[in-house]
Amino acid sequence: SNTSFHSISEEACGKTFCSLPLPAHTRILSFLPRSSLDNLSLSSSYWGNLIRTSPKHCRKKVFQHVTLRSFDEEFEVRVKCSEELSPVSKKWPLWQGEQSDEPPSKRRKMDSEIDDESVERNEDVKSQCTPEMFRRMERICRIGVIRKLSLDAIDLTDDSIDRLITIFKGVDDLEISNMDFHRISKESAHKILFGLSNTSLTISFTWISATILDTSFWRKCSERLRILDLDTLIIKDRETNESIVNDEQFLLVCRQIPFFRFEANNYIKPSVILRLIEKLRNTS
Amino acid sequence: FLFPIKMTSPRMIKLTSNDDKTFEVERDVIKQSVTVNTLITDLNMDDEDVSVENQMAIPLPNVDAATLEMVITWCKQHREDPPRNEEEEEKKEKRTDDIPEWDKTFLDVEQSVLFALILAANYMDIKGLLDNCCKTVANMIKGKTPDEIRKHFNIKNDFTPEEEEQIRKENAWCED
Repeated sequence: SNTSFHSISEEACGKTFCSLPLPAHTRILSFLPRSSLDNLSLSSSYWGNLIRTSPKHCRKKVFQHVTLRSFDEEFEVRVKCSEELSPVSKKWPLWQGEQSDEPPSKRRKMDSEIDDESVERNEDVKSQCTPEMFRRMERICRIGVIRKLSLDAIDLTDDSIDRLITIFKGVDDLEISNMDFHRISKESAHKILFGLSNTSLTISFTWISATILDTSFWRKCSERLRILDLDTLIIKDRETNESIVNDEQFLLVCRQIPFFRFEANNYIKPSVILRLIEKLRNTS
Repeated sequence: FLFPIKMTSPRMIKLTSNDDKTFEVERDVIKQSVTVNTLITDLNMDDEDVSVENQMAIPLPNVDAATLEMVITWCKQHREDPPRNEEEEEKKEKRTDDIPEWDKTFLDVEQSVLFALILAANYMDIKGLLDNCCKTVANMIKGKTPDEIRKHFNIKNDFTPEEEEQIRKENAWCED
């Protein structure tokens, strides 16, 4: 030991590992690999609880991309730890006894699939979120920090959205695909789209109405997002058959979000694109 | 021509530990403590007209003299360190094998002293010292089994075997 400081005060003698303040504990945890965190969590209930509930930044593991997919009575979790590594995937059956009382959602037969007889209209594809699914989601979050989260064919309800936000708060990048937003309120839809403190949002193959993509949606996009990617099939409102994007709002958002990708199928008129180019040229 | 050079002595700051021992330390050295730095600025203590004799000592009620002496020694050693960019530090990979050799020797002390230093570094907000202390503790934990960790840090195992098994199962997820 370093012997240059012999005079250990009485006060210092009383200091133990467990008596350190929480910021010091969490700082120490941040320097530990997963295996050491696991071993420390098994040393006592204090450490077990602390590691289980510690702020996300204390956890060593970083998941570059986590995809959650509920499809055909199975719940799949795909985890990609880094750009270099291949994703690891695991599937669990959703047990009959656990399923929600509500019927599963139907997938809309997409325009591109109209002639495809193998795709039935109202085909059952999604199951309600079950306690087992939530349990799996919570475990992933305990283990590591998630950078990008993809929710694929997860059937959303107002309640399940609240739970998802609690579990995944802090995700940088959110991708929504193969979802149906017609069964949930506009407030809940906005909650899941912006409520994780994500600065990037991708929506693809999702039923989304003009009610959801209202002025407040575009305002939130321009205030909070750095990247907005509205992929195919954000086309027309199902009820009114009108284009769901107002040209003026589109122009506004194009100029305010650093990266905005909008699939051409979304019925943006060429004249709007030309006006946008003109405006950008004038302001540059 | 020889011009007389006015030798200005470094600005000194007085710090008092919780056991009433006062230390004089160069302003430039103690600037690494965010807490002390803020106090100096807030109390307008950088005023050059006030001599060190007439200067108020900054009380550090959470730090004893022996620990404060060590903290000052560490700050002297690291006075030339470039300022830390906390945002960059957070982004960096969290490593524990990059503790400088001098710090390794300096922090090779009784556990209780190391923990007192962590408390002082946390209170005085000296990020570099706090990090190196925490890395030293992390290195003590690394590679140890739960039982070895308990023994090393005198932690009481309050788990029932069932609870321990449950946690083992939970931890195993994503590893299988």
